[in-house]
Amino acid sequence: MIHDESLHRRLTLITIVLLGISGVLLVRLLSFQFRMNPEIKETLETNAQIRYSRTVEVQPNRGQIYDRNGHLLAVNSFDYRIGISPNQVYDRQEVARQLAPLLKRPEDEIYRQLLPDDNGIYPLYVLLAPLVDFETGQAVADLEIDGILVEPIPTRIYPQGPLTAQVVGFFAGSENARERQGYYGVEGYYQLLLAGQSKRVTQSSIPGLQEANPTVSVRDGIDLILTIDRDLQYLAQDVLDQAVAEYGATGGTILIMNPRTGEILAMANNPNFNLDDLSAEGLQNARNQAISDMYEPGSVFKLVTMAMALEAGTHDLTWSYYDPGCFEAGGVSICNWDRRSHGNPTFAQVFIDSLNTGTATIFREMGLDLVYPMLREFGIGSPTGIDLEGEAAGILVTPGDPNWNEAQFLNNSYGQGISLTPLQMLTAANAIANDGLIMQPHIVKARIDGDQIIETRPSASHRPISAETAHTARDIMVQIINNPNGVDLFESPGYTVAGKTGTAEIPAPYGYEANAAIASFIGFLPADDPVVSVLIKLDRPAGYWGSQTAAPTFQELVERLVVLMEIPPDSKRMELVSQGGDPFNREY
Amino acid sequence: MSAAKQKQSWVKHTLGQQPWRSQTQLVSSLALVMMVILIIAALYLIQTTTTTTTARQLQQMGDNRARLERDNERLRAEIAQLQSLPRVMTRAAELGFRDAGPDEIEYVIVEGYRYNRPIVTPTPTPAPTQTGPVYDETLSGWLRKQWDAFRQQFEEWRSR
Repeated sequence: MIHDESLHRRLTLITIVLLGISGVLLVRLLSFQFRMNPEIKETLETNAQIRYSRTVEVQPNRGQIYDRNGHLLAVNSFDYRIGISPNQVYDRQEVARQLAPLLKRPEDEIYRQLLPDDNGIYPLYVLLAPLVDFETGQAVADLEIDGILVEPIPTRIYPQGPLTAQVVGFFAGSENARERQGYYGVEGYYQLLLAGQSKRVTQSSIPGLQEANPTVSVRDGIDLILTIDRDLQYLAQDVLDQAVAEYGATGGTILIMNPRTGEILAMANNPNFNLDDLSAEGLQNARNQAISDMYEPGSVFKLVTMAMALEAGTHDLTWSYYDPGCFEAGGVSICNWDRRSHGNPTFAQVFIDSLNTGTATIFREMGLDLVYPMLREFGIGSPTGIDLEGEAAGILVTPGDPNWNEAQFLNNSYGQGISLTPLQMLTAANAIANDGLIMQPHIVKARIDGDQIIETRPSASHRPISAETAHTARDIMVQIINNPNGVDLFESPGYTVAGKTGTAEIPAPYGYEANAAIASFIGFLPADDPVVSVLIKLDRPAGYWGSQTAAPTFQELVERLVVLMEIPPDSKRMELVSQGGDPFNREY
Repeated sequence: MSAAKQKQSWVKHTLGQQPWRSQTQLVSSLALVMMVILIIAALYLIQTTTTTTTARQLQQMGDNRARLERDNERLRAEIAQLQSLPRVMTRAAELGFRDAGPDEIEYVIVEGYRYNRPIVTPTPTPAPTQTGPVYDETLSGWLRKQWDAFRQQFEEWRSR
């Protein structure tokens, strides 16, 4: 009985003690839950946040680039970065053995990276390979090794290679996806549209709290359809490369446009750009010479002089002058290409025979007040505003500039003392092809934003001349290459072509280079209803003259161009037109 | 003892509060409470397990989807490279093809026929459609799902 009472007392005491301890713990627990020091609470919450979640930037897919017929010019792909958390690796030797052949690294080197440091602590992350190709990355991922991290790094593939490299540009930068961007060409100009919008997402480490698919709400980049025709680009590059080799030129440019819409159909340069060579020297060729390099255009500029004089009304087809062969003006001698007098040539004959004295006389008679505003109307001295990165504005020295003088003004009439890009020159000449209207040159035909296709509508940028003036100028251009006595004569069987050659001296620090010229040709066809205009430019050809180098190149190009563009010969085209059809099935 | 008295004694014996019966009642009550707690805990455990398993499956499916998307991009790039013009032209030349000249092209005028050339544009990538979750679960459906999940886990455990 006494024993029972003692036991009962002890049990009561133990119960009270345990209840007391439980009570204290409960009170402490409740105070932790509801009355915790705010600073401690914040610290604990931050620690929990760091431990159980991480903020990552979800990258959008970069927009793809197509040619006008849907052929891919730039497409996304991935390389991989391979890393590992050594503390999660169980069998280091086996892991090193599996990874060594794939990463092309010695097995023992990988094994040593998986070992703890001198203090016995494993690093949280070890980089095994900074950049491996797609196949290697996938092969490593397939091994399903614990602790391995296979991170995709977005890259860009250009299936057409150097063919469209200067137009499309390139995507490069550091291995960090955020620091990669487009450079040059379309990639550079449309960087923001192509890049899309990334999204910062806080991801929980607890599976149930993870966002199911964070990439869905990321705004992908916009796809671009270019006006470039891959087949024409290939043709232009092929013809240009052949011409540069055949005529011993140091380089050149071929530009093919639709004068009715301002669309660039092909833009080829020599030398062109090798996307595999991103060294400082290789990057020199990333520049698109057709829009970035200025040159004195020479006699092809006489087309602008001709159109201006006709539009101003100071000259017409009945005008003529006495050609002395050479004359002095502003302290310099202005001479014809052959330095001979051509008697009393008419207005058209000035351009058929490409007489410098004739165009200089026309400019002198027009006067400064007429010439310079009209040159501005043709867009001379201003960038065209094409949607490509790196366009140069050109140089037009006007009265009031320190370098201006009368000789320069007269030189401008035949394309010397004035600097343009090939694109500016062809855009100005397009006014003649397009009934007096200069269309805004552009390279993007449409943008694809999700399921929306936004087409670029052709827009007019200037009207420097009337349709009537354009038609008169066009007729003279046809005579230039058809006149049996003309200097620019060439044959184009079945097709009426309008054109003009140019042989421009190359400026040097003191005057012009001796025995070197830039040979060029501008032409469009069919002359009565142009659908394509072409500029050929060859730098320092051994043949020197445009009529002997650039004009035959144009002929070679046109023979293949009419097949690719399905331009029927004039006789067939007229038959179609007489039936009420549009032989070109134009979209504008 | 009369029959009525005998019956009264039997009822008292059966239903009467005996000292050991109060302990039985306590144990039974505790067992009942424990049972309820266990059932609730089991249900909670099953639900948590199911949620975690589903989340893990979702994560794996998401990873798989990302990988398939990357595969697709890569295949698209490969196709584009195989169709690149320099490659096609080289292959065509190997097969004996060459460019046609303008004098080799025959244009035939068909009286009254106007050919409408199709305008080729790439098919736009369809925008991903977001579907909201559908709540159409019934109690019996939920119970069946729990049971199936439980059975599946058991089967997985047994097959190890």
